[in-house]
Amino acid sequence: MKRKKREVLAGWIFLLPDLVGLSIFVILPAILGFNISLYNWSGLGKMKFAGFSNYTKMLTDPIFLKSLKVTIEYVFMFVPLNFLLSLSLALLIKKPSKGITFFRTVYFAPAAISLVSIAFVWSYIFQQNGFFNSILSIFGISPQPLLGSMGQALYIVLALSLYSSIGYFMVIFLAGLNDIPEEYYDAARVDGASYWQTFWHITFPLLKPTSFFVLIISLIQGFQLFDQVYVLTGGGPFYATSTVVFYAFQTAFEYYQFGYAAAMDFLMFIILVILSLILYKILKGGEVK
Amino acid sequence: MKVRSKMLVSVLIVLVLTSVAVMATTITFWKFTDTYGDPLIVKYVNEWNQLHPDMKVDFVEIPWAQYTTTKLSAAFASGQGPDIFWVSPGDELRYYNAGVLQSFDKYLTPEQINDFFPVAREKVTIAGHIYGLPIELEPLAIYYNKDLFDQYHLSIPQDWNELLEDAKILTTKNRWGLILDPTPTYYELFTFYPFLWSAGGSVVNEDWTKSTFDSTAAIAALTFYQDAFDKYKVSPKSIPTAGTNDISTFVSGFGAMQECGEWAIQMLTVNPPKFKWGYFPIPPMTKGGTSVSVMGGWIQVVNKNSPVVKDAVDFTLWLFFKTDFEKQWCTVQNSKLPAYKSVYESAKDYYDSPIWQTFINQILPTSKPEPRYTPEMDLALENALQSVIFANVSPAVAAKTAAQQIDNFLSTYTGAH
Amino acid sequence: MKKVNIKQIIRYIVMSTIAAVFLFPIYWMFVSAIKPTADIFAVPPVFWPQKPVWSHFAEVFQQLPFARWIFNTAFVAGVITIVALFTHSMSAYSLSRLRYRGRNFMFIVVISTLMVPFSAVMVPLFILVRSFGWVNTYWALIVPGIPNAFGIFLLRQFYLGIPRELEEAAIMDGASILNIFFRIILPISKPILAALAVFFFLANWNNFLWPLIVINSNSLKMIQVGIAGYGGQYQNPWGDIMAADFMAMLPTLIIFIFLQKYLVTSITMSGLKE
Repeated sequence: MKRKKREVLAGWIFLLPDLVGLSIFVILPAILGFNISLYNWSGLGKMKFAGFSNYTKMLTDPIFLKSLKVTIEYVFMFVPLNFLLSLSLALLIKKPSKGITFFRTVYFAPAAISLVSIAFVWSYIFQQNGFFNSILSIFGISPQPLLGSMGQALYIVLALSLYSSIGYFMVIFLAGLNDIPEEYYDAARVDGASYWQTFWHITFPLLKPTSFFVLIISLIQGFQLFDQVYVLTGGGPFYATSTVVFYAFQTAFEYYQFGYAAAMDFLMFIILVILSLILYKILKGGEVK
Repeated sequence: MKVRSKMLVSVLIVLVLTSVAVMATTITFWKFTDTYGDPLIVKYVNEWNQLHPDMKVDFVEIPWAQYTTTKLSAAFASGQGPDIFWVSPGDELRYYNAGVLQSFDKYLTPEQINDFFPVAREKVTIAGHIYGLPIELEPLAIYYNKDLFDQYHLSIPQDWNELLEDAKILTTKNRWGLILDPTPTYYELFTFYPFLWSAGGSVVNEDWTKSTFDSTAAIAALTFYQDAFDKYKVSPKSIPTAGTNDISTFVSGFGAMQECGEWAIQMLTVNPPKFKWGYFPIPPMTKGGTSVSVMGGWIQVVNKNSPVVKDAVDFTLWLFFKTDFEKQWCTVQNSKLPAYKSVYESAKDYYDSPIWQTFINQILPTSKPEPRYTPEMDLALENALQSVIFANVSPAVAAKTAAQQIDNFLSTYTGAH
Repeated sequence: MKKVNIKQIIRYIVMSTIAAVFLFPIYWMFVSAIKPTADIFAVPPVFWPQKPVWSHFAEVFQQLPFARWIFNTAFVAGVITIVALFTHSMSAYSLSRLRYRGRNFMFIVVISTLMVPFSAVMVPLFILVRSFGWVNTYWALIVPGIPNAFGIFLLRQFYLGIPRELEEAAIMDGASILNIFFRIILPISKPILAALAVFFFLANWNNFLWPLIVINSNSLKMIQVGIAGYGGQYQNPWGDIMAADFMAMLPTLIIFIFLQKYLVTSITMSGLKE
């Protein structure tokens, strides 16, 4: 067999195990889930065919529209902040030096804590007479309502997400940074390039595959924000932190409208696919030319 | 589309077939966890299993927070629920409407039915039939810090105004006057009903044709919440625990008063706070009015579609009428009011203690069972509450909006009530 | 020389400040585990209890089958991690280095599976897994956890960055595709495989919703579901919960400390090129 033919064959064989797994355990359930979105179903008893009425219902559901707004607002804050903070951390601790293992472990640690206990700590810190307001008072700022305020609760959820994800993405950036051959830096050093010049001309461009990955993954995580809301705010106060995926979950499992929930989930999926395709085109899949 | 539906159907059929095969010899019994209460159930399950080696009970404990809303929902949604499970009154209607609940009418003797406290009987009766056995009665009251009341020379509030005034005096930089539930959950509604009812309000008329929530009484109750949370800021808008059903906020001195149920007595006895405490009935709206509390408590029900329905009923009857379970559950493992007169009589020593007298003599006689509304109605009420607490919506507007939403829903609702 | 030192000092100050912020919640978790109930929600906060209650840590092992849950979770997370690292590096290699028609389309299909919210597929997946008769078995925990586009995607991005020259030299020498994969690609993937191992282990260690749905018996529970069973409707024994959570966090940290040195071993082309 020619090498080209062998490459085609190997390509499919290498992909096969995961492809079968994904088809059975994600794609098939997703199709079945889409099917549910065309029915009215309480999760008990018979399903009633509803056509696309679950989709049109979203347009006039104020809670859905509010949740969509919350989700978009959150994504716009989470994606850039997460990117900048985790990259900065990775750069800060990349270079080996005394005690660096300690710092790396500490930065990663929040990712390892169960959300239930962070939520416990968080609601203690950010209640109206908690630590955070004590710190503000040192700077002469009057106590804020924080978790009890529709205007501030989302920022506290954001802080929780960042706290538990920065260390995680830091590890990805660390691995990506180490993917850049040391020789490039040696050459730059010989040329007398400054730290920032090296960063902009070597590190950043060569980090493109990693950056693309981090952007896509954090975009997906942002749009699918659920866990932090689930453990910390329950979507409240008055839907101030209700995201689409959270609202969909509530709709299915608390209000027992499984069809409507599936429709919301499917819409979220379509939005994500479109956004990711746009990013894919812009960044060319993160391939380095 | 048709192919997909067929796929779903065939998957469902496979699932039903396998489930029947698996279920034939055991009774599955699901309940939320109670780290300290469940060993008691395990004890009786083991006892049953020794008596009935051919029909064992498989007792499954599910994390409290995910019991109703995730595990039970997912199990029934995928076609197979447990044979026996605990359900809250609010949820019971949904399972009834879906034809899941097994009626106990023909299994109960008149003596057994007579043994139910009337409020407990009302709780398990839907459309004239009894579905499941009541486990406990859970009324709400307001717990207060006696030391602080003495310090500020306060007396037990007799109406809402006095309650607010006391709360204002007790509120400091580091302490809240009155902890009410601010979380967007069904429990928040549960704790709101006493205020709604004590003002003379209701949610819906007798035959469920029209909402009665757009009333001066409901507006007064919503106004009380807005005053407590927003106007006078005597109630915390966020609490550092999962919900106010947990008394530990009060124990820590986070608040001087907290609305909570009789279950808190146990915790306050086992982990006593550093101060003297007491409780009083939720005051009526105006002096001399009636204080109406809400009577919660879970119900043990049997899945009508279970292949071992008869055995599941047998086990349930055995647990409540042939063993000491109910007494132990209410007086040893927990501090609860029993659903059965005979159990109350046999535990007279326990309930004669002074701490129980207000619950038994003042709160119980005027309590109403926790209402069972549909999720749509609950949602409308929850939105009304959340919007007056957090979004500064006027109580009149909130009541009107909720009433409209409920009316809209009722116009197409055909289920039971 | 002096300048460098000042820079280093600033770096350490920055690193320590961030570390303090990151550590505080963990400290609070720990200290809550040794507080009596009356101190837990006290305002102003109690930074160190007058009478620490150390018994919560032991209680966790006495009251609950904690050790069994740790074993279950380690077993499930371990098997998934090992199998997934292998299949995902194969898929990623295919999607990044092998040339064939439909490759980009397949890549998009693979990552689009990441965009399906789990709550949307939970019920259908449950029906499916039950039809296999896997409910309440390790199979239900392990098999659906293996295929995961996250790992494929991360590895693919990493492989994209490997210089072509590495492979071309080997091809010239007549190495087969399998040879290249095992002899060249896998060895230089150590940093990313280490990162991925940490992620998989962590994700499965903290997995909650799915194990909650498919497992009923106490002896098969995963650690997070087990801990969530602490308390009940009316009381949350926060001391026990925090002690359990604190101990449940440690295994992941140990894995991280063990693997983190691989994360920062730079690849050098010179070593491989000639």
